[in-house]
Amino acid sequence: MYLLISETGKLLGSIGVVVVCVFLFVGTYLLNKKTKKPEGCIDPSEYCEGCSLTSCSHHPSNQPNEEKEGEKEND
Amino acid sequence: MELFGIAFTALLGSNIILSRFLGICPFLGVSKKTSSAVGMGLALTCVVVLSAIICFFLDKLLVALGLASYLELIVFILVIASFVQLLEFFLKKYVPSLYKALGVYLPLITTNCVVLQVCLDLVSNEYNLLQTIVYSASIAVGYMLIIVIFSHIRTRLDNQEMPKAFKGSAIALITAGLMAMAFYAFSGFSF
Repeated sequence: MYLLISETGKLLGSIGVVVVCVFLFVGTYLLNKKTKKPEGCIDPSEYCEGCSLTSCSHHPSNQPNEEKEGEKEND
Repeated sequence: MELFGIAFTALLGSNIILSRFLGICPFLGVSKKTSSAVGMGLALTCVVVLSAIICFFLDKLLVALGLASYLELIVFILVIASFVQLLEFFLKKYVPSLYKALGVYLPLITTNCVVLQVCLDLVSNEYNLLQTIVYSASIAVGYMLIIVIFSHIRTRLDNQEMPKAFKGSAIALITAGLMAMAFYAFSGFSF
């Protein structure tokens, strides 16, 4: 079933859908980040040495590098 | 019978890891221990089935608006990523016991290409809702089956002596290749 929408309407609709999805992602990301982990839950980021999955948020390459930040402050 | 055919093909005949080589990063990364493999498999099953249902209805909306052809990919990526974040938030807040068991694996699934491929498959195959649920569940269970079998093999391989060049990822990939050849036998079945 297709709704009769003009080309301009489709363009605006496409932009609207993408913008809504981006805001949805940013909103859920911030909501998740601000929520504290339950007590007694281990944080893998503390001991994870990294595997082949570099896009994982636990991977050391995705953690803020405190040493580098410290060096910059000393310079 | 049609549903059984879909399930069998997704589970064994055309297993997403061994025949399409998708989701290889977590397959190699999380298969060192059987407990991790089971946890990853369960978390992936939950995410794949729920995101496939969401993407099924989302695709209907995009088709109705006439935007399906060029917006599916970007919308599915964003919706899956949002859904995983939302699921992690929900588990943290309301089901902490389940979060302790599976929450560790959720960040690994956010960028798992299996989830996206299932959503794209159900659109291209024009599945209805029931077929979507059966297909997505079978793909996820097939993924879990392979990763658990692979973790058992890797555990045994760790105790074997082998040339230095073969240790680690090399022997893991050779094993995966042999498993792919073994599972290729299932592709001969037709329903």
